[in-house]
This record gives sequence, C-alpha cells and structure tokens, in this order.
Amino acid sequence: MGRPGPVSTELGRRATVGVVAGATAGVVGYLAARAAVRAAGGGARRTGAVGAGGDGHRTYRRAVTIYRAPAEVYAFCRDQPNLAESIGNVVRVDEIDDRRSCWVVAGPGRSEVEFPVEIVNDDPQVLLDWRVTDAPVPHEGSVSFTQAPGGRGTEVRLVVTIHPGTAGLSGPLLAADRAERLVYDALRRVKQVLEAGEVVRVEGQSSGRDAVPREVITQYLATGVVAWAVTGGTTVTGGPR
Amino acid sequence: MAGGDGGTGVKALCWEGVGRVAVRTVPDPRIDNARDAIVKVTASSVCGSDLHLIDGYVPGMREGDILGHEFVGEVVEIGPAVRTLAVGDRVVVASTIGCGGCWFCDTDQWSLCDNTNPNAALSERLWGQAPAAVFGSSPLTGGFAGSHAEYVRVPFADYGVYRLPPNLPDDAAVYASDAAPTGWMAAEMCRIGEGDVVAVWGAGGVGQLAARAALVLGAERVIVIDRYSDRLDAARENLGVATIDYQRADVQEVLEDMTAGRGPDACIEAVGMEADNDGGLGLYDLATGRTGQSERPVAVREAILACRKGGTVAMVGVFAGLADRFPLGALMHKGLTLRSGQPHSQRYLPLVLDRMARGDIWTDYLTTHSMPLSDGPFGYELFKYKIDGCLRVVFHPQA
Repeated sequence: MGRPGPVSTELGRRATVGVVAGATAGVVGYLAARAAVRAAGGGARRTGAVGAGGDGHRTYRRAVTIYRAPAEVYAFCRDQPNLAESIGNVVRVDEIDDRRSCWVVAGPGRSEVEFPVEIVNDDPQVLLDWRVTDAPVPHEGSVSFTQAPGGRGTEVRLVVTIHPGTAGLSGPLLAADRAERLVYDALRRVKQVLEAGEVVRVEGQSSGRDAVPREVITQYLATGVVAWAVTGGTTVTGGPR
Repeated sequence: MAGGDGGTGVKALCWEGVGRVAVRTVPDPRIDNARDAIVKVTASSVCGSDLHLIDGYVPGMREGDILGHEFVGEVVEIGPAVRTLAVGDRVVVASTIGCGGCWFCDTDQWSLCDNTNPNAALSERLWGQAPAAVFGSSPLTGGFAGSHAEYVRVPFADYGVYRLPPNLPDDAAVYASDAAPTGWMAAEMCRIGEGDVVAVWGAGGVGQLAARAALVLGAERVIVIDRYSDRLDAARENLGVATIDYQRADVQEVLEDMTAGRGPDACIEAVGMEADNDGGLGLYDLATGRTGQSERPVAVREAILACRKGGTVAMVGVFAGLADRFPLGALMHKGLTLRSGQPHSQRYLPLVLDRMARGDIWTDYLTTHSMPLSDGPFGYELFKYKIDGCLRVVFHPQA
C-alpha cells in the first residue's frame, strides 16, 4: 500500500524554536484576541478543562497517535514553517534566539496578537516544554512523543495550562470548550499534515446553499402513501421502508 | 466547465429538508486541496443509505447538501499534487475517502481513515472515534459534496480513483464504487467455508451483490430475504439463489426448515436503519423512534435469531445512533460473531472490477431505471417506494 509523498523529513537543523509550542501559543493568542474583542462579555460558559486551579488556571490535555516515527514527528514539531502552516492563524514567527521567538497570530477580523514564546525544555524526540508569560493569555505547554505499540507510530500528548493573566482576560472570558477544541484541532492538523500531507477542507465547497435560483426544479417526496401512475396510469402504493 | 469562481454553475441534486430533494444550480466545484481532482460525472447511482439521509434519520444534514456517493466519470482537472491520474481518464471513484497515509489506510481499512473527516470532533462525540469521510453524506461522515452533480470534487484523488476498462459500461461500472465493494466485504466477513449456507436480508443492490459474492466465495446455498417480489425475482433469475418473502412466510421457520434446524452459517444484513415495521417489535421501534431510538434494527435482530450457533452476522446496512431491544442474549449464548463496517472501497474496488471483467460479478440487471439528473427527485421517489419494479436508479448528469 502506497504512502503519500514524504512530508518534509529533512527538517532538522534550521528550526530553532519549538513550533508546537508556538502553534498552541498561536491558538491561545487567538483566543486572547477574541477575549479582548469581546471584553464586555460574561463569565466562563462551561469548564471543560481537566483541571482548574484556585488561581483560575485551566489545564487541557489531548492526545493523538500519529502514524510516523517519533523522530519525524519531533522534527516536524521543531520546524516552525511546517507547524505554523499546518496550524493556521499564525501570521509570522520571528526568532529571537534558539530558545525564544516572537509569534504573531491572527485574531478575529483583521486584528493581530504578538507575544514571546520561550522553550524551557527540549529533549529531542521525547519532549518539548514552552512558556508564554508576557501575553494576554499567559500559559505553559508541554508536548511529549512516545513510540506507540505495534508499529502504530507516535503517541503525542499535549498539555496546556492557561493562567488568568495580568489583564484578567483569560480567566472569565476564555470559553473552556472553545479553548479545548482549538487545542485539539491544532493536534489533529499536525497529524493530518504528517500522515496525509494536507489538511482536507470542506469549507466553501460547492453546495445548494449557494444555489443559483434560475433553474430550480423541486419535487416533494410524499411522506405517507404515494400514488404514482407509472405504467399506464396504474396507481401504485407503498409505505415508507 | 468545472473549476473556479468563473464557472457558470452546475446542476446538482440537493437535500432540501426531511423527505425533500431538488435539482439546483450550484457553484462549480473547484480544487480546494492540492490532492483534489474534479470529475465530470457521467453516471451516479442512488443507494439505500441516501434514503436515511433524505428521510432525516442521520443527524447533521444541512439544507443544500449534495447527495450521491456511487459514481463514474471523467477526470477533467487535477490538483498540483495528484500523481496517478491524468485529465481525460475514465474512472470509477470509491465511495469512502481515504488519505492513504494513516495507519488505517496503510492496513487496508480505508473506511476507518483517520484524516479525511473534517468534522471528526463531531462524530467522536457520537461514536467515540471518527470514521472516514463518504461522498454526499452527513457531516458525521465528512460532509463532502456528493456525486449527483455534473461535476464533483474528489479529495485525495490518488487513493480511490480507478481507471475503467473501456468495455465496462457506466451503468454497470457504477456499482464498483460502493455496492459491489460492500457486498463483497459482507461476504468476506462471513468467512465462508465449505457447505456453508448464507442468508441475506435485503434484496437491494448491496444485498444482491453480497449474495453473488457469497456464491463466488464458495457458499453452498444462498437465501435472500425481502418483501418486494420483483427484487426477489431478480435475485432468483440472475443469481440462482433461493428467496423468502417475509410477508408471506415466517423467516425463522423457513430458514430453520431449509437448514434442518442448524440455521444459516452466516447472515448478512443489507437493510439498515429504516427496515420495515412489521410485527410487534417493529411497532416498538416506531414508537420509540419518537423518543430517542434512531434505528429500526428489524433485520439485524432477525439475523441474530436465525444464525447458526457459532456463526457470523455481517451487518453492512447503515445505522447511525442507538438501537433498543437488541437480542444480546442470542448473540452471547450462541457464540455469534457480529461484524460490521462501511466498505473499505479502496481495498475491494480493484478486485470487483476484475471480477466484473471476468464475468464473476454482473451488475447490469441492477439498473432498472436510468435517467437524466434533472429527473432526480422522481428517481428517488421511484426508489424509495419501490415503484415500477425499481431496484436501482442511475442518474446521467451529462444527459
């Protein structure tokens, strides 16, 4: 059975900033921007978080299995163009040094949010930890890579802890379910790019919701007994099957 | 011509709401991903699972969704990353969409692909994990636009698009998309051994092809169960199988008699969630359908009750949610194996094309009605109510 073309395995050296870190940071930055835009909003709608601390922090955990070797998955996550591209919402990443970078992510509308990301722990092929302190939504994250059993690839576990923040935005205004969803989407997108080579889209595809109403031929299926003269005016009846 | 915003629109058969379909002019499909292809559809078949969508039994359908998942056509445009196809190829397309790169695709379990369902989070909430995408289906299985259209976008076109031999006409080849792979997979799941008797519930396209596949795979005897006499006649005449009209006979009694008390060694359920409602449990299903149960699992219950001890029940009819009053006791105490799944179309498609070419599988008799796509609503009416001996309707969008 064929595999899709190699998905950038020659990543190695050039990457200096953990990109899963940045990408998740991007997601969180996006949330922060949303929160800021909706600053007048109310309290958290739902706490979908795994853990919620006394200081208002929330922890999200998600895991996926990626059908690629840990070395490849780690290398991909260390490579920021790959990651930024696969995650979406990231406008650009400016590297400061081998541990720190500045991420610019797209917020709602045309807004952009900029914040520094610092790698605090880099254990090649095993673990990447990062921290974002000077941001509307301060958070820390960790992604680990473990060989999955039976040749199933790599178990990728992501933990993100979001703190209330100096502006007090992230606590009440981050919808927990939304944050959890975005964290999971980021993981899934990395999986899709690594395994399938692209993130397949359905948004904007052709549908009758954008129908051009000039040639609409409508016919209704009867819901009960149907009488239809098909052959020589014979009335045929039948119930729903 | 397909492609881009500059298109003039294409005709497509859309879901309008429960029980309603209509032909609309929709925007031209376009290459959205590098591995997409655009196929000009020359034939697209109805399928019983479309009725579950049309009738509102599968959650998530949106007004305007384009139906159809079983089709042949011509490649008219390919994305920059498509390697195996060329414009002009006459092709049949697998109903299930596989990425080709995940563990499931790599192990030939294409309908379980991890990556082609953009709405995975939604299906995970309902089913725990998300299956592959299917053309022309609810968002639970991807939400990709279907093939009842003049043109259709085919994602991951390197996996699931197969060139057709020139001598295989559209109306026969179309079943290689879905019905034939499903039927073959059902029969294969039965692990048919020497002397085995196989009973098949449902004499629609999938049931007929499952019955034929069971014979090819060595079944001693195949018995097809339905209530539509023309479908049972078609099975007897074209496949040489025995049939039971369940409105005229007690299925359990007849099967017991035909197998001298053993029961069929394997049972194939090719009916799905909208089985007919005869009998007490059927009435129960109808009543509870209004209070949460989405399925009417009449045929699968019968199959479990009829099946020989230690036998296999292969369920390829489509279900979406929760079933009630399910014979778990029979399943457990008779040591049955229950197997199921959407077809791994990419696994079986080359095989069924080969079998079609060799004359082991024939599908021409299944197309009882052939019509232009503009008659789509009428076609579904014939199909749903089994009017005029309708077994399958094939639409010709270019006609």
